[in-house]
Amino acid sequence: MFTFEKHKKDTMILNLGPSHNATHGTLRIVLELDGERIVDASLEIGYLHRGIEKMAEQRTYNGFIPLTDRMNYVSPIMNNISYALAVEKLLGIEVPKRGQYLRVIMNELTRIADHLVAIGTNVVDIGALTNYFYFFKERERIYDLIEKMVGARLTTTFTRVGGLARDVNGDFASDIKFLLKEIPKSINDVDKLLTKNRIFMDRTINVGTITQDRALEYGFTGPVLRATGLAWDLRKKQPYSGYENFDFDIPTGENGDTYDRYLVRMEEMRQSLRIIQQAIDHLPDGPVSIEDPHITLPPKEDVYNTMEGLIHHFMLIMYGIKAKPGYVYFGTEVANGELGFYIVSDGEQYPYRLKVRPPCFAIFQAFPEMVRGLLISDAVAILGSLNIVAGELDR
Amino acid sequence: MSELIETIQKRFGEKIVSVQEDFRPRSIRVRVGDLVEVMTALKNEEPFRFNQILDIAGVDFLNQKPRFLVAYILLSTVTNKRLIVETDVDEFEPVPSLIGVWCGADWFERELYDMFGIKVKGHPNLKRILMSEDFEGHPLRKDFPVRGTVPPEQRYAPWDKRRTREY
Repeated sequence: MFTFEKHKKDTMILNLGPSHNATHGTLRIVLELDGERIVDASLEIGYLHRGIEKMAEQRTYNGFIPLTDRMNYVSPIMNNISYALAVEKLLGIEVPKRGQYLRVIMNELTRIADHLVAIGTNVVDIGALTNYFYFFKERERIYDLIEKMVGARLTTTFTRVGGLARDVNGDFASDIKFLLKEIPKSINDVDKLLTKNRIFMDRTINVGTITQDRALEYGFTGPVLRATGLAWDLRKKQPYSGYENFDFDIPTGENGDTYDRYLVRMEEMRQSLRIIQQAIDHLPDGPVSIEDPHITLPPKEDVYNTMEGLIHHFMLIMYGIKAKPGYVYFGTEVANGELGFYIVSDGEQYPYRLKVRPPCFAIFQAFPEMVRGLLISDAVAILGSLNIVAGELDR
Repeated sequence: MSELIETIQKRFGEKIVSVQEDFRPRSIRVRVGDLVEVMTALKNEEPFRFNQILDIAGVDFLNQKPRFLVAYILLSTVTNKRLIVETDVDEFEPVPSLIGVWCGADWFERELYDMFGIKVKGHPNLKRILMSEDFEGHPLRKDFPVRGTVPPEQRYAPWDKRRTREY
């Protein structure tokens, strides 16, 4: 909580949040102002704390997947995939090729959706409203596809441990190809509107700069770290889910300011489209989930017609998956950075301890250092460029 | 035994209590007293260069002595390696702060204190981070109830006599 102890008399205190247009979630920033210059900022988070880690200890491994939707609600599918990969690592299993490729396609589509929201809302806060509509049109198309696939727009629960909830429908490939045709148009439109825009450049260049060393020490990952010039991307460095099969580049910035973060996100969307193109061209046939009765549910025909199928279904629903005693930490590259799950198992059907490592948490603590000496309007621009999602921050 | 663990054991010798190689990433266990020294060396010295601290996770083993395990999850963007450094602490026993090594440890240590009640010695601003200031107890301890009840005196606001519905 903020205290007035150190508060000097000639400065003014300004509350940004907990509920403010620019915070996109509930988090509180207390700014100490000298005129319009920011002298210091203190942060208060936890307004969206729901105790997900405590709840995980009472749920089976599959039962936790719906809760991962509620962490980063801008890109829920990436959370589902990240969690499923962590549990699969704990169990020592690998998903079939088709499941992996479908995961990659949905992962990259959601990454595009997340970046569309991040850039769209960031520039709205700065005062450029048009781009928001160009981007949200595409986001709507992606969400329509997600709805067609899983039946929900935000609460997707896309994966299961050991694969996916279900295979995709017949016109999935043509839908993806339509998106691959349409999304670059909007990206190019916004590129033309913003990248060389004098006002936008004045508002963002050299605003919220952070050096590479400081960023590493704070635990930055993702686009915000790449904007400082380090080509660190887990999809390339520690490939998972078949990312080693795809050809793509890691965009980097130079100064680590708000403008570079915008450029990195724009280029990442183009690279994601490249990955989707390759994945949909080489989408293999076969099952999407592994066939292990102790991990995935048997097909419905077996449940209705065979004794073993019914027993396996019943046992899995009632007792869940049992992992061997041990621990795992697995991090994947989501839209904001590295989302990691540290799972400790004691051999029961519930995780003994599940710790989520949200990327925003490490990034947001550097916010006071970034805004010191700048103007209030810069603070809003920086906050948008960091893409802080309160649901993930507070869990 | 992997190359990384071998170099660590050669460098630190007695300070490494045990190593775990069955799970990923590999982990080493050190005593609380040696933690800062080992971590500083792991960050700065050449073959290791673990320049990022990704997370600090507490685990509560309720009936064991010592009670808590604190896991520091490290990543090196130089050598592209991961490592978990574990340490055991008992109830009421503090862990040293690592803000001097990585400044990003700040909020992770506050979360550790908030959720488990493990004091962090040397932390400049050790306050609750996710729960409110007046919250009692530490929610991720295993003896904290999952489903609580609201004490009768808090069921309605005393200044508002019209509110009779119980929450």
